[in-house]
Amino acid sequence: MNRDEIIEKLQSIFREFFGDDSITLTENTTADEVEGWDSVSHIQLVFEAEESFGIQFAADDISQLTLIGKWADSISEMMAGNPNNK
Amino acid sequence: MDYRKLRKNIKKDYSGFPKVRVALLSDQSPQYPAQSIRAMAYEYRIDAEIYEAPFDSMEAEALDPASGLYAFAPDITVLLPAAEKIRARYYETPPDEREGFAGREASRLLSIADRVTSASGTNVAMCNILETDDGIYGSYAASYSLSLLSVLRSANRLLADGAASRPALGIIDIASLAAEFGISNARDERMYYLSGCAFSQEFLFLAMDRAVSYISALRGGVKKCLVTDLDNTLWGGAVGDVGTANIRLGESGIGKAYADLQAWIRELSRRGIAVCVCSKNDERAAKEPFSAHPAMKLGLDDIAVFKANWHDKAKNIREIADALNIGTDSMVFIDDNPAERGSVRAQLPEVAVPELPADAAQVLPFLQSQNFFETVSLSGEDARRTEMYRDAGRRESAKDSAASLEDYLRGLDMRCAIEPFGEYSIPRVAQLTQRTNQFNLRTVRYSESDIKAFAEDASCVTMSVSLKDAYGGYGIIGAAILRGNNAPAACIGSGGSGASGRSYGSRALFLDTWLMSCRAVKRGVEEFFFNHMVTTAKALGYERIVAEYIPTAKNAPSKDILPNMGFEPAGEGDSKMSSEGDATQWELLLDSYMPKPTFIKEEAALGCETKG
Repeated sequence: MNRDEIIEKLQSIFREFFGDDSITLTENTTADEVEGWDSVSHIQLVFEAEESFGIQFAADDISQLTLIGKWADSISEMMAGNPNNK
Repeated sequence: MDYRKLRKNIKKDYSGFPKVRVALLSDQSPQYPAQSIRAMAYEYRIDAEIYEAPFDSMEAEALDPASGLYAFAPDITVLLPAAEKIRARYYETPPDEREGFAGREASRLLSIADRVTSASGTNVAMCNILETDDGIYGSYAASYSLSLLSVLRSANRLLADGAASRPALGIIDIASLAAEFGISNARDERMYYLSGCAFSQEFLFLAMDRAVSYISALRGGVKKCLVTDLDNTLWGGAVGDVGTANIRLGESGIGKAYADLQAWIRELSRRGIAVCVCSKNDERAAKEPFSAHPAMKLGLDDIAVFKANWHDKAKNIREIADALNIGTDSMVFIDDNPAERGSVRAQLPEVAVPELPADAAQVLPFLQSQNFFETVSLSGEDARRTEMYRDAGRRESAKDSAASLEDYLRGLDMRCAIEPFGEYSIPRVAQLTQRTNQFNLRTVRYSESDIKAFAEDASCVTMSVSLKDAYGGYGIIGAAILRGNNAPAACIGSGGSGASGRSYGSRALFLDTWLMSCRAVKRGVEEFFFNHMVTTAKALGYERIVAEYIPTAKNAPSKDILPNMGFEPAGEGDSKMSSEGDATQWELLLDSYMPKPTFIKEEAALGCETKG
């Protein structure tokens, strides 16, 4: 799964979570640009992504996920390390 | 529990649901539990408006009369104490000072609850504490009273005891919920360190479901009745096809799962839930296992209403609700057949119809996990309520199933006792004269001392009748006063019409009062009672009974009783009598009286019951 595919999947996760099909995610999207993405929903969004990608973030990494590009990097990295996702 | 789907409830339309103001006080982060409460409330059709007290402000909010909590004016307050806070205080308490630690923690929480109750005047739902151990003492922690595990367990026990004596405090037992769900699944360490809320997302929904269920129960949203199918629900196989001897029910294999389910349902019945049967079956076949199969845990005695017929189940369920005088929204219906479930759900969406697991072995644990039978308290009333439902329901179903009125009456196994007024019956008889409107010939109201005067007057014949049937007792449900000629009118406070002051001749009794509670009419009690009056009058040497019917706005139901008993109109040529307006005069020659057939047996001395 390449970065674009990961971001596209993240976009559908966000859309599903917020019930808002107008949400568009790019490398550079930050929390400020998505309505409802706050500290409360942040953790829930991360959990949704974990479920969807079959990965698990370390607690300390969750708060670093401020930029969608960073999500893509971390997810890509973790999927590479997981033989089930190759 | 599909918490993702439930979480989306918060975007739904709550308008039209009653608003309930819910304050959430926690010593952890309140946002996630608040969200769960709001979302779960949708499932209970409650528009929960949530006050989230600031992070870790449970005590401060409760103690400060000027806090946001009290300004919010909640309808109910949910307290959610965190085990982590208690653990932290435990660790900060030197080991030699931990004696009494659990008691201090419980007292602290109970005093917060007391404060909220008294300052806001509302109920408090307090979640208890997850019982997690810290591995310091190994298995010994279970028996060592000062281990973290033992301390948390003791604190929970003390909270429960405290709630038992505080009617306004309910314990939301999330500790046992977590034990069932798995404590490691209930907790989420990442959530705890990042947000300050130690619960996993899914567990939060499970736990707050319990809190909302309590709130709903406080508002009267409780289930009062379980309606169950029979074949492949209470036993394996179709009894109509295989016969009672071959249904699967017993001590081993899947038959035991059915027996276990029955034992659980019997417990519900004992608690005060009306257990009813609704089965597509011939009634005889359906009832046979209840009386003949040795492994049945449920007996016919446990069933309030038994519907075994070929009608639509929704129709039967409606009739059960009518018989028990409860709303269909307080009913739970279980049936192994998805088509029946679907049909009932479609016609009666307010009935709870759980989607039972197809595997009979899973049905009981599933039902136990559903928390259908939430209640905020129990009282002696509940056991009596079961009895009441049972009596009402069984009479109703006996009426339905009996081929004729005669069969129905015979099946009621009615027993009456008739006695002169006595110390125990006088208050009840006076009450009956004051309250009985429909079956009351003259509607003359008497006080207790009037009734006592009749009882003591040797020229009066007094009698009360009490009734029992196969389904329960009614107490005293009728009374009669027959006055001999010598009875001085002055002994009666309120004399009624002129008829009471007349002379009937020494061989006649005047039927001053004959009344029956409407709970018991049309069942032959009036005939039975009157047979007794005639027998008594004859034994005393009287030849006639003279009677009067005084119509009122309400006593039309007693209009025909005198002619039905064989009374003839009387008073022709007697100007005094004909001048009495609408009142009609009647007379019966005792020798011409044919005792009326009834299905009632005479029983001695149950007349001292005074059932209000």
